[in-house]
Amino acid sequence: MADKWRLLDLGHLTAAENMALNRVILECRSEDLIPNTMRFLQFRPHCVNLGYHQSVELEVEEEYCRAHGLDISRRITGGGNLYWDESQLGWEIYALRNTPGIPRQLEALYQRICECSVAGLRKLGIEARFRPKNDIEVGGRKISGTGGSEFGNAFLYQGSLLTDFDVNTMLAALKLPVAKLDDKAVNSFRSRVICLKEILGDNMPDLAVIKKAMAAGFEEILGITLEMGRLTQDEEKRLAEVLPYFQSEEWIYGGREIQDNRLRVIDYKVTGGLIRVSVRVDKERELLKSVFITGDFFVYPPRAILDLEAILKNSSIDEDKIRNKVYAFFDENSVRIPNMDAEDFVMSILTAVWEEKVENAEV
Amino acid sequence: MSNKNYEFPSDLLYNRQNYWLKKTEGRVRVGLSDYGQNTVGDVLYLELGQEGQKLQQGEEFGSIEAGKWVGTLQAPIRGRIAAVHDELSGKPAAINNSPYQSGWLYEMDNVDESQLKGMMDVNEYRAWVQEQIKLEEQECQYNG
Repeated sequence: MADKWRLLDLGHLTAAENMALNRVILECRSEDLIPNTMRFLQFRPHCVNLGYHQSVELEVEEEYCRAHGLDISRRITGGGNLYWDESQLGWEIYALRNTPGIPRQLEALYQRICECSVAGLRKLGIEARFRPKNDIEVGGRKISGTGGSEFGNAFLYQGSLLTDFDVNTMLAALKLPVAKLDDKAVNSFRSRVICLKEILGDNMPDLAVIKKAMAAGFEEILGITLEMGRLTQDEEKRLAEVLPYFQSEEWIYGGREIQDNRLRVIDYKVTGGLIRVSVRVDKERELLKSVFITGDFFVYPPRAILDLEAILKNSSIDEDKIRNKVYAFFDENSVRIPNMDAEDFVMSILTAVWEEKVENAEV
Repeated sequence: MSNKNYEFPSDLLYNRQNYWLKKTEGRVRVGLSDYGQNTVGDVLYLELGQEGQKLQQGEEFGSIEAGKWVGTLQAPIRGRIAAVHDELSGKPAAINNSPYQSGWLYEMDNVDESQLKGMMDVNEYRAWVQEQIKLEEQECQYNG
């Protein structure tokens, strides 16, 4: 008999309410006060949402947010900054780490839960795929990012699902790795993400249908039955207690280190054309925070560059490690680009990293 | 994972949360084992506790982020944080690259030494890790 999990659909909540509920439900699950739970998230008003270790100063255009009524919030899970408009749908599960069917190894856990979302999308007629480490993509373009956290013997894993995509508000509200907000930047982001509306067009179903499909995806992959439920009195009480903290500047702005966050853009010319690389480097931690690669080349398979960017995100800036990752990626994916090879991409990325490091050293 | 040769120094104690402990003069140094750091993945951010903080065995404090997962640190034994490895918050990659040397996390004093007896020695820990790896491989097969 399938294990029964609780399903929560609390409708639109403020960002602080949604974030506070993350903490409350996770704690209640670890104390065995509630069953394993799946919850849908929706946000009103629209908001920007930071990963646990990010800082508002580096990730958010605060003035724009204030002028346009966006909440600024922080979540207890990791990852990068997000923009949630009122049409977006999030999902999350709370379960014990030893739940049958949930791998203990984290990377296997990411994949398992993302496969639930992939199965849900399949029920909407969409062929999605898990992309390591934490993304779900359609045709190489990201449709969902995910992340998690743990407390005691319980964990929370959550993801976004792009239903529609207000790229202009997102680019204005978040500090993203683009040199300037022009049509090129908008197109660059559009080419990297995809939303349900773009895929399904006029056949885009109601949100209720999307939720039903997503829930069915989780039931199918995890072998569970979801039963609609509500917050317990204890959860309501705890929510009321912790909500002021999740609304406070102490939580939203609190205690995160401020690091240099500049974008370095370089044009690298090779025989086969031009490779433009935009990088953000965390120099103190020696990490490549993000890398965007564009240029005037043709690549096969077409999704290769987007997958390569995903692999390099948050990886070491060590020359050998970058080279090994790029070569392994070209090899494993049979990447073909006329008159370019893996070394051209290694050198273009390293040049951007070196320039950033050198300039920093001179300051 | 089974092909990876993990390094487990023989002069350390270990627990099931994959922490290693090293007894020095009046203090116990704590870090993540080679298997532990590999399980967590590339560490991006780290928040250690405060010096002077008193911890119960198993108490959660601080945070460690890798691959968009924010985990908590757990005290392997009861005691007081005597020193935190401040350099790590700037270079958390040391936890992955040098788990037993420059990747140590913090030192405790006033520890409950009786709890050290509940830790595993290197042979016990190596056997336990092998079991975990087998279970992970079975899960992978089960999950396709």
